[in-house]
Amino acid sequence: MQRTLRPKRFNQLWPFYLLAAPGILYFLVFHYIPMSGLILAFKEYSPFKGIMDSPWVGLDNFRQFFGTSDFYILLKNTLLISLLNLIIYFPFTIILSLLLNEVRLKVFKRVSQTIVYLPHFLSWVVIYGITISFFGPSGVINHYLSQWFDGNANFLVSNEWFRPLVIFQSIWKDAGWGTIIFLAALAGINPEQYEAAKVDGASRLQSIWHITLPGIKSTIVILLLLRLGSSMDSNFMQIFLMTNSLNLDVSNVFDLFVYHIGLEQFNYSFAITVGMFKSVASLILVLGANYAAKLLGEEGIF
Amino acid sequence: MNFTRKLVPLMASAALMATALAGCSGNNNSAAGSTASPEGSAQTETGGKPASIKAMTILFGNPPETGSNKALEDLEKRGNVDLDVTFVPSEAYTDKLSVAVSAGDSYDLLLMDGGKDDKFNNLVKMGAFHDLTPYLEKTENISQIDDVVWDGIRIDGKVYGVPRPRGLYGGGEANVLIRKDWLDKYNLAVPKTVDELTNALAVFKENDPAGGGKTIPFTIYGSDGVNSPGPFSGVLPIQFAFGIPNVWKLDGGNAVRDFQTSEYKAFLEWLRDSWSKGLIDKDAPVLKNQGQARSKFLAGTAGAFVGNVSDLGEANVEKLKQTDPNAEIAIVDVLEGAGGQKGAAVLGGYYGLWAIPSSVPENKVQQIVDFLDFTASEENIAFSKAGVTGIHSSDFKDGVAVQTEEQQKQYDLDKPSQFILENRVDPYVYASSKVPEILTQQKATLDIISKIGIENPFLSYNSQFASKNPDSYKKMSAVMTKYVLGEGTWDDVQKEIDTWTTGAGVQITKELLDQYNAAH
Repeated sequence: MQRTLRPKRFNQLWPFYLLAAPGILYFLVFHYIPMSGLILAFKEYSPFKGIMDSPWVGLDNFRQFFGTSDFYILLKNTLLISLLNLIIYFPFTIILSLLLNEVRLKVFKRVSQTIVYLPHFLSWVVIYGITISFFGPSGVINHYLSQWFDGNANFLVSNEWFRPLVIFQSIWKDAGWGTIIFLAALAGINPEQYEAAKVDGASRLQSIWHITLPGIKSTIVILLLLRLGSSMDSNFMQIFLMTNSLNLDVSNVFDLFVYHIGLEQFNYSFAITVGMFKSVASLILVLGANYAAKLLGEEGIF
Repeated sequence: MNFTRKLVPLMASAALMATALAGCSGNNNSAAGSTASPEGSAQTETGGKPASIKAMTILFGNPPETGSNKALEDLEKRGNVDLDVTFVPSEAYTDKLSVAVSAGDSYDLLLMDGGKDDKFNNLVKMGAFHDLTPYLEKTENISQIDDVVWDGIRIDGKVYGVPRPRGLYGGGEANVLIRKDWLDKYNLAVPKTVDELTNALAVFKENDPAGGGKTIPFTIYGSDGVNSPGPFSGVLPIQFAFGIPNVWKLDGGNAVRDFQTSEYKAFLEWLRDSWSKGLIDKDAPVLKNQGQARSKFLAGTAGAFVGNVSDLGEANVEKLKQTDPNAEIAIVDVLEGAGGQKGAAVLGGYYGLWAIPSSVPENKVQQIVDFLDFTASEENIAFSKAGVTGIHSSDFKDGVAVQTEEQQKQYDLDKPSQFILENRVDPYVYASSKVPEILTQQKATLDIISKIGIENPFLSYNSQFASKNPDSYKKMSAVMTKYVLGEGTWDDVQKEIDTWTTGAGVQITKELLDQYNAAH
């Protein structure tokens, strides 16, 4: 049976394969073939000798990377910022979408949606500029702090405030944008459920808890998994701008390190080594979380 | 690979500088010559067919007109070339350069803006550039560049890039610039010593001439901690007044780094004391470059900052006068310490190296070098200042172009000076004012600092170890900044210095000393 079915299925399906071919080709050419460049992590690469002729160095690059005294600091800083984003920024977008979803007045909803999306289109540089004028040593907040309370806070020039500010910036810039997918998921919930709940006398909070949240649960899990996948990445621009010698202990992250060593010194192999470490670590994280999600009965992404 | 993504960050520093100000133009990059007696700007060279040269260079401010640029046409005709220059804004330059270098095949001529730094060394070792030594022999103008400059850029005795000559002394951080009108207001003379400067700053702080408590007596900026370990940049004249060496000094065959000296401690204490009195810009730790400090000065709120004679230029004065019509700038040509110490850094004497990628065919190299040599000729000094006679100016007298308003406008559009890729040797390169009195003052100051140059014995050497550990000075920079801000003790700083002295410093010192000993 099977043997006779297969050719037949291909005969029926080939237009779809054809349709998918450009996409598959794209991934092969631009995503899989370049991956062969990872061998450069094991070489002392010079663009002028080419990939093939650059000498092998084995695991030297990795040894150097893991051997730097900064490795654990970099790892800690990177993961902490990601973790904070995960437990503060991420739920914040969910709450924001729930709030937006509860707005009954269409016009008001559209206007407020547009307003919360807007900061997403500002560049980090502009946001850094705004941050300086508000939180900087001679910024607005410190101006009033010194006038009213005779004190000042080292928002930008201390270790303590760095992470809260970075998270705050992320929320300010991207929380609105992050609601888009949730709102789409929310729109997919059957309104009859709400009506039924209403008839049964459910309050607003109760229907949010029992209908809305379960309705977007799978979306939340998938987005969470995707976020985990990028937890080794930091928002380079943001961190790069916010860093200075006084918050160095908490602001030095992998991406910044790669920039200094890979780009500023043309040390390509080393940059690739760090990049490879990040990718492998992220992959393990995502696979682990995906497995956990499945154990809990969710669909996961694989 | 996600390598391209790593390039994006550069845009950050870029835009940052852009927000800071667009005014760092005209500082390091203005091609200027003043001793010129130009002749015949229309001589056509008869030769073979024009060499086509594609070059990439750094740009401050707006690019020249790209459509039909009469200045470019004229230069191409006289130089017998087909010139295609890509102007990349300074903010994005590092980014573009690394792409251009690793792509390898697109440009004939690249400006390595960092000069002979670790990056350049690495690239040369990878075989990125042509060895230009044999091609330079017959050059007329390029060969006039000072031997000191050539010595500084050679790698294993060979020249891999043609330096764009600049002043040897002081560079962009040569002198303290101070508000003359404020000094006058409180009957103060232009400071000559650190004590007088400190006193003037204190008077500024006390009297608040900018009004509303906005006065910033002295504005400096944070050090990146990658190349320089100190807490702040923009303080060199003060460092020298304290007797601190220019990065390194040799003490009986031993290499001593600046922060290992006792003078450095005294300097940090001065900073700490000044900070506690509110004399230093509170924003200094978050300022990222000289441009931001300068913009505070030009915005009329800061009393002093460190720049060089080109900051005396009329453009700066005009900007300052928009907020305060009485504003005047004075320059402290020499700042002396308590023991009479003073100095200006002796630098490489160039800004950027013109390198020819090894992908360029050998038979073209001589043509490219010849063109560089041609742009450094005397006739092109006139061209860079006055453009094409009849279009950009009507005459060129005493080093200053005679222009009608319309010609001036056309000049600003076409920007002839931007196409003069290689500059002519000129010790007064930073004296760029068109106002005779300012020009005289600029030259006088340059003459003075050329007598107090302090050399860095290791200027032209690089440490491999340091380049592989770009973060090695970051911690020190952090600790020193905290000390200055009153948040730490001297013991913390001393500990960090000791850690360096017995750790990374051993290797770095050895590498530099080995190179020095091999050359002497």
